Amino acid sequence: MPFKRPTFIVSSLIKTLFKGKYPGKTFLLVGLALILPIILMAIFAPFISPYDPTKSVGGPLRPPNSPHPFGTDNLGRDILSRVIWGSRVVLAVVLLSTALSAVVGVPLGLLSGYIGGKVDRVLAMIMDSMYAFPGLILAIALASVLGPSIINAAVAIAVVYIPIYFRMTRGPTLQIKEQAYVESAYAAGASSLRIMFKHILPNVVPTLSVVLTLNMADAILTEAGLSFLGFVVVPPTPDWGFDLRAGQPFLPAGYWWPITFPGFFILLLSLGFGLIGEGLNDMLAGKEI
Amino acid sequence: MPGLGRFIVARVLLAIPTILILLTIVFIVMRLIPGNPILAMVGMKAPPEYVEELMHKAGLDKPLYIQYIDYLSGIFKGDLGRSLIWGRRPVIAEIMDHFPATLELTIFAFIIAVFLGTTTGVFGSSLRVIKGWHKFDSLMRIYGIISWTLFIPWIGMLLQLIFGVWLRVLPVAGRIDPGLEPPRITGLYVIDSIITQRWDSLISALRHLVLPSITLGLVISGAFTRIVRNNMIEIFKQDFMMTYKAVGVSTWKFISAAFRNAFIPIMTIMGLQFAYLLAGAVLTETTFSWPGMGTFLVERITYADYTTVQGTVVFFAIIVVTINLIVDIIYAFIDPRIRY
Repeated sequence: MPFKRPTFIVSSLIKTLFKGKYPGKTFLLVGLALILPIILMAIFAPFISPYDPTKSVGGPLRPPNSPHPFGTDNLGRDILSRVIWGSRVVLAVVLLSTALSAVVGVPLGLLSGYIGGKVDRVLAMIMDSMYAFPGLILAIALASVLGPSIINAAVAIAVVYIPIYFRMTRGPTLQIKEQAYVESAYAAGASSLRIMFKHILPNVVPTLSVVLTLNMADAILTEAGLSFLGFVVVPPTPDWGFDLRAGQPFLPAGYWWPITFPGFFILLLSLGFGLIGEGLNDMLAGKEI
Repeated sequence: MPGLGRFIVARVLLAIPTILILLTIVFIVMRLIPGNPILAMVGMKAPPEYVEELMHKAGLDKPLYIQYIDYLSGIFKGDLGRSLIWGRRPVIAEIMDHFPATLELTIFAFIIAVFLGTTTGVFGSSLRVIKGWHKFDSLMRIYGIISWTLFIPWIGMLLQLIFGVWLRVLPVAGRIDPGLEPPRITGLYVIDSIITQRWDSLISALRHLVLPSITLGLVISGAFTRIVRNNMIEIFKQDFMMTYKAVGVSTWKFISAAFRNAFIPIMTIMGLQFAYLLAGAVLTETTFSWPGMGTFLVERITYADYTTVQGTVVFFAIIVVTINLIVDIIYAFIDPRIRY
């Protein structure tokens, strides 16, 4: 294979992404169009946020108008600024928790499937039991004993999703390790680590990308749920789920803006990852399904 | 029925390790609390003798392995300990006060989700296969994705805003108008008020159920759309469906034949989504001040009522394992192929 510069690979990848013809393209591009602005918003929050999200900058509960496009909340804080800064908390928790559960779940699944036997059966049973349990409830129990913080919430969510990564890695590993090429690698004296990571793992990566993105869509909703119940941040930190809860008491009086905007952004972000997952799924299957 | 008895025994035996593992996980999680749970509840200023007395009553002064054995044997005797606050009622009694509300909500939400999921899934896949309506099918698929990614409190509050605040046609909180509670028979207000023929109670209970069950049902229906659609498409690919079409049956008969074949796996997978439904119920209940298990759990967490929180999570675990067990047994009863 001729040597290719990484920049070339990336640019040709981007070119295929936008110009190429493949199933799931619409889903993938719409999904990217939804999440990229939110990621940029989180990165550049200090530069684009019009006000300090934790300070009162106008009268309480002002409807959307020109100085405050999303209105103000009950403490007179600018909702647009809170939405912009809130994206940082959601993305931090979701990225951290997804990375944690993949880093634990995937190698564990590989190892378990590769070793096989009793160890594998016991591990699989533990993971299946955890998988059967309602994720949000386990996350609530964990988050409530750990106390509200971004790290703790990420850990609570990560634990809930480990079984998903474990299952999706272990299944293929069990099949692939019986293949002739793996046996020949073994006969050639390759170490177990090399076989697991060099010969088996690459086969799992395509499915992993689908599971990862769909899982992130779900993790966003779990984070928002935990935050809504008060297990992620403490006031006055802005977070979408938490702000939704803070706006609820004013809903019966007709103040619609404190809840509408944060919730809408939860939908956009979760939908964005969901669409990318569906798009990748179609792309790998080679057809729309 | 040969094999069914053996299947049930095997399936029940298989559920035992699952429940043991879950109970152990809950035990470990609840012992992760940094410091002393009793101290966290009563505050640092409480007299040490009082804290010790409470610790003793909750059994928290014993070694961990004794606590674990007490915990497991308690659960098998149906004893989840006593609440640490408000009259120290048995946890199981508190749970029984709140569980019917959750059950009623999840049943109605499940019906709505099955209806929405089946309609969108069946029409999307059938019209795609029969009439070549790819756009319509994509629309149904997008419905599935969007409803699955909706955040329950948000969609719930939007419904509250539209129907409760702007149109003022439906109540936004609680299970029933105060004073109209029917006498407790099953604890499900709809059924109790039908049994006792209290029609005003029935109407009030149903009106309170509309928004929460639509919220939860709508969000769950997305997963059902996908299940129905995928199963229907698999059936349409089968040879017998091709033969059936070649015979020249009407479109309706063709679709209903496919649905009848896909029905059993669809219902099974839907039944197994119960855990997902319960997790959704926690958020739905807190949004609508619905006095069920979810609201109860969150409320007791804020009071640091340690034994009640533990007992409630244990109860959730037992419910999920039991429901999955029942669904599997029903599946084996209907479809002999899956017995082993």
